[in-house]
Amino acid sequence: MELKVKQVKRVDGVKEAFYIPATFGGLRLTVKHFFRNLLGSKDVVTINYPEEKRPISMRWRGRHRLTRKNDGFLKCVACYMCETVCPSKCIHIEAGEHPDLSIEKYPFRFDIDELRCVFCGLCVEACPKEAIRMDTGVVAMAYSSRKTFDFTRDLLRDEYDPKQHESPKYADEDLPRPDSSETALPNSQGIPAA
Amino acid sequence: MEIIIEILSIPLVQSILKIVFIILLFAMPLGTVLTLMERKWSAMIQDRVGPNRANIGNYTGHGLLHLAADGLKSIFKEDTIPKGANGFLYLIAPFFGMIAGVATFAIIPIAGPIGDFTFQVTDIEPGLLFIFAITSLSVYGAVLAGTSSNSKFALLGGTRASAQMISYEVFMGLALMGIFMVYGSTRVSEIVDGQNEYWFGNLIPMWGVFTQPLGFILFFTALIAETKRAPFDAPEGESEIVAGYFLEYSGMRWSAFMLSEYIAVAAVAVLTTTLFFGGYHVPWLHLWESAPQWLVTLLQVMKFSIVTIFFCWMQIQLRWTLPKFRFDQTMALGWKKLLPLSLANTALTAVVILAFM
Amino acid sequence: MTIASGYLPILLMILLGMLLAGTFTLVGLYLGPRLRNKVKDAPFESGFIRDGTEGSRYDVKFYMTALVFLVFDVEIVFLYPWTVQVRELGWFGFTAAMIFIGVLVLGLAYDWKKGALEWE
Repeated sequence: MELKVKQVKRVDGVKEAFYIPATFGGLRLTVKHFFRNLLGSKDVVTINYPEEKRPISMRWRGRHRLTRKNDGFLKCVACYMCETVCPSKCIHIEAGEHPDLSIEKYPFRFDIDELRCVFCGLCVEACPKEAIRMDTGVVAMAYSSRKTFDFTRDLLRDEYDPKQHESPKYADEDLPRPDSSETALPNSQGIPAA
Repeated sequence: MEIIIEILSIPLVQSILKIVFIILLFAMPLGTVLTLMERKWSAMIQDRVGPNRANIGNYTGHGLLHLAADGLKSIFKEDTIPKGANGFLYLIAPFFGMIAGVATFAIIPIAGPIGDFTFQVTDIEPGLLFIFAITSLSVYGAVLAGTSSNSKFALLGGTRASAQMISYEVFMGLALMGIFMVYGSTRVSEIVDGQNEYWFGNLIPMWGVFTQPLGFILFFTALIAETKRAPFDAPEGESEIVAGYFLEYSGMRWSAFMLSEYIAVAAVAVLTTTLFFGGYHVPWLHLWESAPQWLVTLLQVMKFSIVTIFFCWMQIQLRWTLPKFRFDQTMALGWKKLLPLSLANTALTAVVILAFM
Repeated sequence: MTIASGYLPILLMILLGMLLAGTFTLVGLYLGPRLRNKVKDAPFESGFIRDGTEGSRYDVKFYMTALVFLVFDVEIVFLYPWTVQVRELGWFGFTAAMIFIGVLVLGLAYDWKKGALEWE
């Protein structure tokens, strides 16, 4: 295939050799911007991040959350679909038997190592119950220890929109919970978190 | 009271007072503020916000506190010395730039004399020749920093700096020859007073920029190259040799280089003001004959400061406007364009002076 | 004003400059931490492992530039007296200066033609 090459013609005349006209041409532009911004920041496109946030798309994939049914139970049925499809093997589920016999299983543990996660969104697509979503809009996760990135079920569930649910009350509050000391998963290297 | 006046009339005491005033109240604050203003103004040029985070409580002062934050930070930074560096030369290298920057202000008058008292630290006969001598000194800073660091990048920066600075010193000297001819002196006070004359009655002041337009452009270019700032920043060459000759420096010694660069910027601005923009002389002020002396002095200081700040701004604006010259282009521009031009300027000025005056 | 009293303030200025730089150095040395290790002490080469030494081999161009500089700097020094006295010396002085400059311009032309000013 013939490549189309655009040839830029260099002007090499007396005007260019003296630099001065070109300098003034450049100065005109920068001085214009300087004074426009000096008198009221008109052109500045910077978003002052922690105070202002850039609007993110509806399809933007952020930190996971586990959705709940109307009665407050997790929608998750511990089917292991997301754990199976996850390319980075960052989801770890342990199914538990639900006291309510109409519900087959519920996730006794549902841990996501957000450091391993590649935010591909396959878990969301794989889920048959729309139990896991990545619509929290958490853009940046920055913590000082690796352990903090191991999100347990309760942490994932607690990521709800506070505007819609005023006081979170979980119907499965009485259910047996994993011991808090066990919540941390062994991480990817198999080293137990401190 | 009489004792105080007597002490104040000792020339040495006066000199010390002037030094304190000009350096500690004019040059140093200007250089320090310029370090912040460079970042703030460049942000404005590039449609950014610039530094605005350093704060005390809710007060940020539009980034003004970054001055204090930067200073404190570099004070408590580790002062590293690379292995194999020549300790003594590494130690004294920052001194040269600082001395050169500070000593330039010695011969700059910032206001007209009141009686015997001059607003100038010293008015020596060689005048500007002293400037050439002292700016040559800053070459040593760059070269010593480059060679003593035991680092390849620093060495490259140091050699480039030496070649560039000695080259542009030539054009700086040649560009000023026109000024010497027009005002018939190298003494700064006489050059400044010569710019208080007028053409066509009282229409146009005989400023250096009008008598020597080409000389002004050459001199300003050469001085920017002397300070090693963009577009002539091949010795520092951020994108290739990281920081050039002061690459290995850290902490307060790095700050010394940084501060002396900005004091040099201020020095370039005051030299341009003094030699080409009438110095402290306010144009057409002599028409107001009944002006009180204190007001005249105040106006002179204000005019001098405004023009100085304008040229500081101009240098920063130029830095953020012009693309950088490659090192061979820097040298070619100097030796093949500025040198013939400044020689021609010298000859032309001589012809005009001899033929028409 | 005697010569000595004219230059004394300049000496003071130089001392002030040294004082400032010295303060900077000392403050950094005493207030900064000293945590040295092998990697930190190595000269910075963009993260590459150091290979060879820089020694003292420079491009010959730098010597050429220094030579050309020397010629023209001396020329300037000789021309300053003429520039200050240009009115008094008149056309005679002008002719002399032009001959002097002309010789040096010949030298420059020779340098140029020989490629001493080329940085490829």
